Amino acid sequence: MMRYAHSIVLLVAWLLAGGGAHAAGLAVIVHASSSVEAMTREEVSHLFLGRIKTLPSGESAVVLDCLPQRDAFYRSLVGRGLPEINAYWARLRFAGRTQPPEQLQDGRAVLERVASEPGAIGYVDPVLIDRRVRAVLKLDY
Amino acid sequence: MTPNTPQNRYTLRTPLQRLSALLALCASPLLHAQSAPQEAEPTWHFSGFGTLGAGYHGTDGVQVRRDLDQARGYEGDKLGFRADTRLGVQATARFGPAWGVTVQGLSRLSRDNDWAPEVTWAFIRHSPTDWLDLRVGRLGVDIYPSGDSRHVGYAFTAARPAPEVYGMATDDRFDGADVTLSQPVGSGIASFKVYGGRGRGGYYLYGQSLANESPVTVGANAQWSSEALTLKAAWGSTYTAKDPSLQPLANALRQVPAVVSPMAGVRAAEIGISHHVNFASLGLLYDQGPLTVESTLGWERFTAFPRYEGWAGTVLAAWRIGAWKPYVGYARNRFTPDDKPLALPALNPQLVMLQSVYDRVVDRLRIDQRTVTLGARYDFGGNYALKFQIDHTDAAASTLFLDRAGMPVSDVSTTLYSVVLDFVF
Repeated sequence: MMRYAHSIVLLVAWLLAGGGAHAAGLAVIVHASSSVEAMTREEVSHLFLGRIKTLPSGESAVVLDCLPQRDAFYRSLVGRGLPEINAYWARLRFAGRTQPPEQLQDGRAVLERVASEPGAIGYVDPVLIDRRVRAVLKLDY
Repeated sequence: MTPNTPQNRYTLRTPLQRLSALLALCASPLLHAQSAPQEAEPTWHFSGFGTLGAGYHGTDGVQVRRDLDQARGYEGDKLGFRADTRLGVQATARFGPAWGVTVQGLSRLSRDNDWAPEVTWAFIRHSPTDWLDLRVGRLGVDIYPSGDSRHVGYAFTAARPAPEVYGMATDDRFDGADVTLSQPVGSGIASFKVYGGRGRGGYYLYGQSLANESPVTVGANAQWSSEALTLKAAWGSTYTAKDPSLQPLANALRQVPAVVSPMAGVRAAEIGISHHVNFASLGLLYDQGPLTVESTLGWERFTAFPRYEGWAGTVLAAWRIGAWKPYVGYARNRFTPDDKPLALPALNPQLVMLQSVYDRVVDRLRIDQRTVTLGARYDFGGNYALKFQIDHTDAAASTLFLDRAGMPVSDVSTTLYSVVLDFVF
């Protein structure tokens, strides 16, 4: 009986800890030919919040959002959910300051775009990454 | 103050002509020659924003306005739909990484009591680097945090930016240029902007639409933004060289013999035809996790007789709970005239009437009001926000609130219930 109780306690603890799920994360990626090896969280947030428009290498950046993972990305990057991010972009866009990142339908579309366009920067599930792109920042959520 | 005329209003016709000129310039071979080689064709984006608003309050005979630039507000004991409702559309084009053009139009209840579309933005941008941004054309005056997007309800947590602060600044756009320099400072980006041009200015008061004739607008601001925090300090000024609206009063005062009232001539000499409106403000926006805090403190001086000076402030705090975001806010403003006493002897009806007019002119822009706000925002569909808001206002004197004849009110206490649907597309 005690053995069963111990097992149940372990099972509950495992489930509470998000048991079974792999550690969720996102990778910020650039073109493999880019001279950018790594980026800080601040550099990435400035790019994705429209405060700067070039990569650390000096290339003009094409910033890409991945629709299914937007919420997780911005919560992990700047601690804000989509309603706050959308309101933020409404403020900037309609005050004539800058336009929000282009939104793509899924991670594969982001991967293909970054792989084919030097200067593009996006985020995908790390399992999608191949030799055509380089991860410059990893985010957990 | 001068009556509004077709020449000093921004109607659709003239802006369309200017827009054509802008687009023609953008399409010029010179511009294309400087475009990035990888982006030969311009990239166009079309978008828009709007608000459907409804409001009710039970204070009979009082209209609650959102800003001075509206002829009407929510009337007492009636469900109103006009004060917050608006629609804006925007077209932008990029001509390579460094050049772009933006045009934006807005329709809302104006100070002429119509919904005539206005061109609120129409400019060419040149951004050769991250650290330099130049814009030429029609631009927004950048005094308060988010002041240049005050018509975009979706961008604000509350149903409307605090009227006590944002509703007072009607000199909100100009035809000219601005330059922004940016630089990383600490964990954020610091920017410094200067701007100048020919502005617009006007308001509805005393039952009429009043407009300044193309005042000169200049200003500067400094801002620092990090992941969660934005701080802003701003200064702005508009100068109107010719505003003869008080000259009839000055002429009447000059007719009063010195033996009757030596002070009448003194006051007449103080009434000029030029004036400045000077603004300064400090703003804070904190947005991290579920918490949002917005605060603005502004100071204003209006040098037209008798000279007004005052300040306005607002603070709003909100907490995100899933799709809901309840918030509470407080706003206060106080704008008072300099003490310019005049006591005309009541020797005849003309002097009695002149005394009455003088007293009214001196007091014409006095404000002393405070508002407590309670509300909740509900986000849905990715681009929509439904807001329920209660504003309780106590006003010892107000030019934002009007009576049925369009005159300022005093000693009013009212509670406004609002429901607005904000959207972007």
